[in-house]
Amino acid sequence: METMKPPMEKLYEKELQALQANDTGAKPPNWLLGPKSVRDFILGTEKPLELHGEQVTISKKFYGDDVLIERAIVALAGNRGLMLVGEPGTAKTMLSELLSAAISGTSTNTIQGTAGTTEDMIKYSWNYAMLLDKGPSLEALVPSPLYTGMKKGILTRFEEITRCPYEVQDVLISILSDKVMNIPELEDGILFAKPGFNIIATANVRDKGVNEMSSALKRRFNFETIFPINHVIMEAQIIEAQSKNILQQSGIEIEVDQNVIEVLATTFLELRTGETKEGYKIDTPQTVMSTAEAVSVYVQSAMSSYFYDNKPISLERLVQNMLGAVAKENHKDINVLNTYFSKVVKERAKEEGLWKAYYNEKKWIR
Amino acid sequence: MESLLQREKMDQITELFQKKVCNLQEQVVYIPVRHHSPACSYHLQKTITSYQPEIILIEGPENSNHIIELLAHEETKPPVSIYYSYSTTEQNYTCYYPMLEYSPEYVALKMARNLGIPAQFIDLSYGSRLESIDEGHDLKQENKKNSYHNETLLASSMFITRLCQKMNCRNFDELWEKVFEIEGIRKTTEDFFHEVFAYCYLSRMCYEYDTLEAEGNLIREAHMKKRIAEAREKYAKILVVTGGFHTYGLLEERTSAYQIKPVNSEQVYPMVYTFKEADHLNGYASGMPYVNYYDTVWSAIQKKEVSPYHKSAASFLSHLLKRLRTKGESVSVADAIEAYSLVQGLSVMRSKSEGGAYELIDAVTSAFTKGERTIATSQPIETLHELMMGDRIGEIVKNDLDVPIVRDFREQCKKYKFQLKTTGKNQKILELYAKPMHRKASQFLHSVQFLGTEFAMKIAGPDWVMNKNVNLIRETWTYSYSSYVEARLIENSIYGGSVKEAAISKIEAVIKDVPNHHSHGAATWLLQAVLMGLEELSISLFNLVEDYVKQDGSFISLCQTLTTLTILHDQKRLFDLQGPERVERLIDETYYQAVSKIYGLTEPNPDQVKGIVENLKFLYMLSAKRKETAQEEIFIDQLRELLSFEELHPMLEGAVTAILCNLDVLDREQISSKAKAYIFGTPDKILHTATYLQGVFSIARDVFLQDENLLTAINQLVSTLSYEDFIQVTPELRLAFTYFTPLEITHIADKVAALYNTTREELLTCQAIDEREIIRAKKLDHAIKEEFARWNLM
Repeated sequence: METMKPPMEKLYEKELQALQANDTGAKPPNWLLGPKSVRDFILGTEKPLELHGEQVTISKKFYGDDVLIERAIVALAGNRGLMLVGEPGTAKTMLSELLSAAISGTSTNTIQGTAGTTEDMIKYSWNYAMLLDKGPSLEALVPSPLYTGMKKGILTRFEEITRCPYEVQDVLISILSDKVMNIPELEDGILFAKPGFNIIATANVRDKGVNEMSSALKRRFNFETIFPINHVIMEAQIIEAQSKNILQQSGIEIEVDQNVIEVLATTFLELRTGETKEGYKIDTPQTVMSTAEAVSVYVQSAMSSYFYDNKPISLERLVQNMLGAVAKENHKDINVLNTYFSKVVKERAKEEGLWKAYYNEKKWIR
Repeated sequence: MESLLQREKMDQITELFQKKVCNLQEQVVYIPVRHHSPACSYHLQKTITSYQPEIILIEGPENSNHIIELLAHEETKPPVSIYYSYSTTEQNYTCYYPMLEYSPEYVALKMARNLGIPAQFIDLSYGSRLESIDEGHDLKQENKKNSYHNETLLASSMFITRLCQKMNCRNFDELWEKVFEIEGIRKTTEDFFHEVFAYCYLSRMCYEYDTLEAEGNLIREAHMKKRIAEAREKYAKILVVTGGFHTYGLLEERTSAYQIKPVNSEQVYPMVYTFKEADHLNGYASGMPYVNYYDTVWSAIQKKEVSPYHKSAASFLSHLLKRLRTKGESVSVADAIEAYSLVQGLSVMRSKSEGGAYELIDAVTSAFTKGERTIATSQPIETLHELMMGDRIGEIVKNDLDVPIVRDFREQCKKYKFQLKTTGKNQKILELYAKPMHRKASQFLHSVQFLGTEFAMKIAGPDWVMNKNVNLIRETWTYSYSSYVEARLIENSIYGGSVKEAAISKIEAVIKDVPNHHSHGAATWLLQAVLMGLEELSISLFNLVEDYVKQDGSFISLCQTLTTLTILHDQKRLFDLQGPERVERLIDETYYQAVSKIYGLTEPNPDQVKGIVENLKFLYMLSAKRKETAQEEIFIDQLRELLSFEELHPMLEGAVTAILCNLDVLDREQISSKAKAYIFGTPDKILHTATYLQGVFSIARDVFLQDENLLTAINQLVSTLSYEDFIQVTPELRLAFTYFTPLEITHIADKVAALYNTTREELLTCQAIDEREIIRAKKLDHAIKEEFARWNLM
């Protein structure tokens, strides 16, 4: 079946098989791959691996802090859960999918946290027709992803944990420390977690304070903070690859313009870090200038140029769409963008060709 | 590691090693070491025990042989260092040779003493080394804390960069720890030194002979070879301990004719040292980081622990818990247990026999951080770094050698003619502008005062830091010398061997504590450093201030910085500032930063409004000097933005409007039309008129003198106000008019008088009416009114 976004274990099936075939190291119980192979799966290897006489290249899937990946993997083999925190758009979810695909072979055993998540959705609920028919029994029980994880000894992903109400988050506390779930409705209703079970949770730092985690819950997780990429070329590569993908899926056959992407990536990176490549400090907007946001600006601009102007991406469209991305949280952010143009872009406009054209579009910022 | 190398090359190295380097059958055994490496010391101990040499030769300046006795003494406790200084006519050069408990050189000295055999330094003295190479003086900057063991060449070759990538190590230190420290103590002594030799040999091969020569390596090796040859005549078993980088240089058969220039004025002293200084993370390119951590590991190795690294990790984790609790953090033993198991897990994943310093740091990062990594959650990791660096200070056995800083102090006092022979207070008046010698003396006294010696105190003179009395041209100091001063100087000797050097290190230490967004703090220290004449620091301080300025978000602080920098710039001749362009550039940057913060001033703290207006005025005055720059455009943009804010503080509104009018951005009439908007506004707004006027008058009081409209409007305001409102507004209104000079007040009075068809003299001199008269008139008025009412006339 055609899917919009295949899960990681499907997308990288071959790589996972190759790694498994070549994995000779020790493995924690119930893990498909040893810790070293999990790292190789995420960070890529120099040489291709052999699988049934075929050479399989293990690609690099996560750009950023390599040491963080090692810490995350080892943490998952230990006693505590793994909590990935960071700004929106820093690939936390992707990393958690990659980790569970490599370790447990599935990335779909997931609780999608929302403000409406209830305790039932985390532990278990009942099929009421069966419940009335047979009374409380294992057949009538509807397992949650957490239940499944404990039962099968696989990883459970918990997305956006801080969006869930405080009381619901607390369900995890005793389960994480005792590794056991009580089901009082059933006789002998105790589910012991099989080795290999653990939780990868993700939380968005922008949601901090909405449902702040209790310190008891925090103690049961190892925290890893994912910082945005701080490298123009790397970021430009990601924007290019992802935009290409999305545009193709939307049936728009145009080449991506690498020069425009570099301008876009530079603008986003500088506004995010508050420092220009010349070393000047500049103001940053309140809005998250994430890579994901840059991709959407590019795609929107390319689409509007394609449909309305019937030509490849123009800087005019880029600046118009950027406005919408920057002025999300606070109108003052427009001023920040304005100052960026009159200080940084104007300076560069003196020499470099594209930057000059870019500066001419300042008129749209208002 | 062998797999990475070409097999043939490796065989060559192996052969060389077995025959010539660590062959215990030979007359000379060469031990390649890395400075401050516990594993090297461990294997060195073993080699000395099995080889039983008759003399140990060590890479170290030969003019310090006389203090070996002091260093190896049992009352001397590392960290200690040997201090070298020598002066040429133009400059002073200093250098440190630090030794820790686990430094191979120190271990060699100690063991030689225990075995009752001589130990001897065989390298060129520091001074001759600098003098004998052509570009020697460029290598070492004056008064900088140079380390004798500079490892830049060893740790930064291309070979190392590739190797780190290949072995998944984040830097050279992790690579070294992984390959040589953790695995090293598990290898046989021969294998270990073989690998150290191979590694050093290969890093050496990454450099051309020219580089080695320019850095002075070849001449030093030639000299050491000469000393070894001399020892061959006298002793049957010689052990040579040198940095691994030089071992090949000592074996290589190269005949060379080097000219060694002796230096007479060089001084050598034993000095106490600290862990903090020894930690290379503090900027000295020598030896390993995390001094206290490796010291703990060394103790564990000496106690023959099976896993010294894990043992140390456990000890550090428990100390970390204790330290964090005293800092009020809530941490539990469970965190430490988790971290300990992470250390082990990470070590397996990274194929290390034990988890070392980097696993410990990663484990604490992962297990002790509760939440997003920010300043709020960085306490555990910072505390761990503190613990791993340690805070120990060494001790030196009592001796007759002089403390360098005290000697320097006396020499300087003699030079500037300060009286040290008698106690009691003396006074000295320094004419800063007239006599260069007095300027130098002032710098010296500022340094001594900064070091907290209580030798001298300034009782009068310009205070540049507080920007007070800057019109004065003389400084008056009182000073007195006592043993107390000397004791304070000795305490400061830890910072350096001369007053200037100590002041430099101390100011560097103090600046580290200035929060990095507090640019005015940094700028003040820059000014202090200039007052002390520490021009060596000025480049790094300028960079620092620039960094801080970039991170400073406070408009007021940035403007204060700008004021300080302007003082520096205006007084560049007095301060003897080199390269005034640097200050100008910094002023530009600060100006830009300050200006770009203006639009954020929409809702200032009421107490700060006056300060902000003053600062805006200052920026406006500066902007007059820098016309036609992009910055003026930003200044105007920002002011416009600020002005468009609807509920802007009236005083700011007045000031901003006035500036924009002066810059010809707004029309002059805007000032009076805005004033009228207040005057004819709701009762609440009317009361703000005076505050608005204060803002206007602080910038452009000439408007009032020229614009009749404004005068009429204010006149109308005063005449229509109710009694209560008038009482309320008067003080503010009076304050607004204090901006005018007496002459201008007279001028205004003339205009007001004209409005009432009278003259100023009459207006000002007309007699006040007696109170009783008024009361009688009021009564009369009242009676008439009643009478009229009775007659139905009103």
